[in-house]
Amino acid sequence: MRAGRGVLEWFRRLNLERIYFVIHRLTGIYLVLYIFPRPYLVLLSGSWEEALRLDMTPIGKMLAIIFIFSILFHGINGLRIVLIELGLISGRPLRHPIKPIPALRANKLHLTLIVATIVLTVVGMVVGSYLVLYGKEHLLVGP
Amino acid sequence: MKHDLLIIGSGIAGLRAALQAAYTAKIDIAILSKVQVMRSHSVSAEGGMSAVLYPDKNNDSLELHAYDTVKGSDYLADQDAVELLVQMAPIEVRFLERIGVPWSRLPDGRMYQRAFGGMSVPRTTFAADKTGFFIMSTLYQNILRFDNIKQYHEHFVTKLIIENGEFKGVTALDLKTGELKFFLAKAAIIATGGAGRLYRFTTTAHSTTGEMLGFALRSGLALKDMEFVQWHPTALVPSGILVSEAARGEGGYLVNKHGERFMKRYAPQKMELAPRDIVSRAILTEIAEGRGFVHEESGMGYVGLDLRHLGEGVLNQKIPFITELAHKYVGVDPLEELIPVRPAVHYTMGGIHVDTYGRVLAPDGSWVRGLWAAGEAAAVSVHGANRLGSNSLSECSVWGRLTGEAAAKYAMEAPTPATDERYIKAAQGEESRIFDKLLHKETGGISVYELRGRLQDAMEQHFGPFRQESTMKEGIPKLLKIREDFANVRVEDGGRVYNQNLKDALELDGMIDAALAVAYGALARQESRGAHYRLDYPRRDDESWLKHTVAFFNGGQIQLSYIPVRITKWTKFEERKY
Amino acid sequence: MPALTVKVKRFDGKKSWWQEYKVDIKSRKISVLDVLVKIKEEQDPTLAIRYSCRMAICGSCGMVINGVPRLACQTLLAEIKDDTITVEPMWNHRVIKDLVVDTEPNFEKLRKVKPYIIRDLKEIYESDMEIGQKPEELEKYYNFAYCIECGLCMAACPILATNDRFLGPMALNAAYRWSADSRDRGWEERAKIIDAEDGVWPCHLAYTCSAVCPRGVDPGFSIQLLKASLIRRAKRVL
Repeated sequence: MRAGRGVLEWFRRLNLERIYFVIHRLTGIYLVLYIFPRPYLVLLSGSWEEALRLDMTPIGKMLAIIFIFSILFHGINGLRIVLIELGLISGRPLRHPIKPIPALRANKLHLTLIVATIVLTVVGMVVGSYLVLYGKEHLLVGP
Repeated sequence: MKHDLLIIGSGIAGLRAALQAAYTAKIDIAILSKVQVMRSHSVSAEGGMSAVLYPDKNNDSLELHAYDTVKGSDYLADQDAVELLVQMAPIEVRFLERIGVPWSRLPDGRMYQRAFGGMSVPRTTFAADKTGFFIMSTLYQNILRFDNIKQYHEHFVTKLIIENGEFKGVTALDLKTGELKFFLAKAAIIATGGAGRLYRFTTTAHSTTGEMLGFALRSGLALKDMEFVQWHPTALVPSGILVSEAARGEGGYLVNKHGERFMKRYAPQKMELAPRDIVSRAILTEIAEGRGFVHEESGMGYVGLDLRHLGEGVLNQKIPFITELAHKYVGVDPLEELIPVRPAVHYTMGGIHVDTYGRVLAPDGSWVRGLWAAGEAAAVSVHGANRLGSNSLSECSVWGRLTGEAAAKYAMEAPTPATDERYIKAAQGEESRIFDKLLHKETGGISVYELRGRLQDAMEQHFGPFRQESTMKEGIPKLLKIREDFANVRVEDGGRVYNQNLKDALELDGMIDAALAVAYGALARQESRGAHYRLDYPRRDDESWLKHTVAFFNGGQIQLSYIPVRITKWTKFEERKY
Repeated sequence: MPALTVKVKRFDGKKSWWQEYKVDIKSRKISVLDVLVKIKEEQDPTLAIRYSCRMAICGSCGMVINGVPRLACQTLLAEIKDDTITVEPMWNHRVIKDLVVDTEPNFEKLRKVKPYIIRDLKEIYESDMEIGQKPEELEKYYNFAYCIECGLCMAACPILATNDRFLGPMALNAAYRWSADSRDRGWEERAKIIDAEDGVWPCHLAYTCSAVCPRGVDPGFSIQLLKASLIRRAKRVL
């Protein structure tokens, strides 16, 4: 029996890491919803080219851009998480501080990774969106 | 509910007793606490636990510790109990170390000991400046190891049931559900702590109300030395939050508004590390004579605690909590400014009358079979008229262990208590008393909190650190009036679940009786000794008053009797000069 | 000083509602707990709040103040900029009455990780030895021993909102603190307990636990250290 607001709890904006957590979850769900149906899409459309034509539509392009953002963020953040969970970049805990401060600012390495994630994502997004919107047809369709 | 052993109160003494009892015997133990078990006021203890751990390294000895304690108590302590304390304290410190308390350490792995008020040699083992918290936390997590310990969080004990000089059980109000539960047991240990909240300005938590002392009086037990109430010299103004003696132990100074270290006029040798009652009276004298600062909002006078010369290293390593408190609650940076401090009620040397091993004694001196008391709630008397800092944690742990072991052995051998008709009737009577009479009051009547405020103000005004006959004689009728007015108290919250209003009312009921014991004892004692200081009798009178005050109810009124102090080695009663 | 408005989310066992109180205060250097106790004593004695020490060491007064889980006694009015305070009970916990919640599940989870020195029991209870510990060894777990078991981390954790079998930051922090203590020999036992579906793994680094901890314990960090120790199959915790 759950005592609380369930899934809505995820959406509290209490600290930066929490926001990353939520975006990670949302992009994860989006990736599943985007990638899984694709083989069926091909099947439904009849051929690979037909399916890709759907991708050329404005909605298709928008969904593709969101897909690029999702896969970049989810991947880079995921790498960050793996590095932390392996204990490779954690550093030492702070000596008992006078004022309680969030873990984020306690550890320089941690902070660097947080920033790196968002920076790399943004850079990748810019490149990817450009390609999607203005790239030559054959880049996506193939020879 | 039936258990073998009940532990009433879950501070350091209570939890230590539970641990010892659970290890000694496979009996069924229940801990009853009116707050959640790990939230007892013992967590605020900051300074440390005194013990002669490394006698050869410090030039220390058990005898020296005992002498310091006896002298500090103004010779009122029972010397055989003090000898037991100093003997067992190092054993307890090592035990706590083995169960995981994070004592602060020297580079070679030994425990670090610091100087403390009244101790001639540094022998206070500490864990930064949160010793009580760490010990409580460790003890609490350790009782989770034993399945035979059951915790009853937020169960407020309302009555002790004692028949024929034998302990039978208690009734307790379960706050969560509002039911009154009846606990039948073979043995019990009372470890409910002191009664700081009898006064307005105190370092204690909201829960340190001492109502169990009042309930003990009602069950026919006796309270010993209640008039000795210790004022801790350094408490933050205006909240009353404690600034540990450790600040002075690490080298802090006390200065008046002229910047003078005034302690040199009151205790030239020990200065700021003189025993607490001397320092408290010194500060209050400075304030009364106009050499103190005045707090704008509350109007309270205070002096300054100067930690500026200690440097950041010491402040962050040894006393970080004090630094945090100064920042948070007063908005002061201890590296730059003075911390405003003033004496506040801190400890009750008095308590339930017990013998050297913690067995509860009735007013006639006989043992109430199956009942023990430990910690601040008991008066063994190890602290006599004044407690030295860091001796209380030692006392709690030592007597926690002794009573836990003794009670466990007793419970193993005692027969299962029979569910006698009389006990059920007593419990039911209690239930009707509480629910019918207290809850269903007509409109009109006094608010619990207003009456409590009157009690606290009366105690502060008439039975403060400086006492005299005329003011005390005015105070007693006030207390008696409060006792009368209690019959008109109105409990506004009519609900069953988590009715704090009802609990506060029951607390007040016990508090009034405990306060009366303090008042009568103080009026009767015509001398000044330790924490009990009288302007009309400023000298210590060993000829007539080297005895303990025993207070008990006789026909609804408090009656006092006296018993001698037990003396073993220290027969020369020196004057307390530091 | 203007009057303060305090909005409290109340619950009486059947229904919950928001109640507003107006309080006159003289100074902003008091805590939210002081204000709530004032309301309780002067205006509405039916308001239920847990509190005891008023100095942020007992852990009783955990609640959500203006949307952030805090200890009421540690939140000074000076920190709150406007004149309205919104108070509700801790998230993720069943409410008993008003601001009092059921913290039993937290203590049960704490018990599961065996938060005590695991070593020969006879040695602990019957001998009189001093085990000894170097200052560096103390530093390793010291910060994590500051946990006052207030439950704010459990209230802030998003995982607990959807999975209440998750051990949670309070219990996992204790698992680390005891395993990292040089006197303890119980890492193998505890590793088995936390290396479970509802042990350490549901944690996905939202780090809100560390953000709200009133004593700066950083349980998020200790959980990652536990994960690292499990992954690397360390003999002693990292």
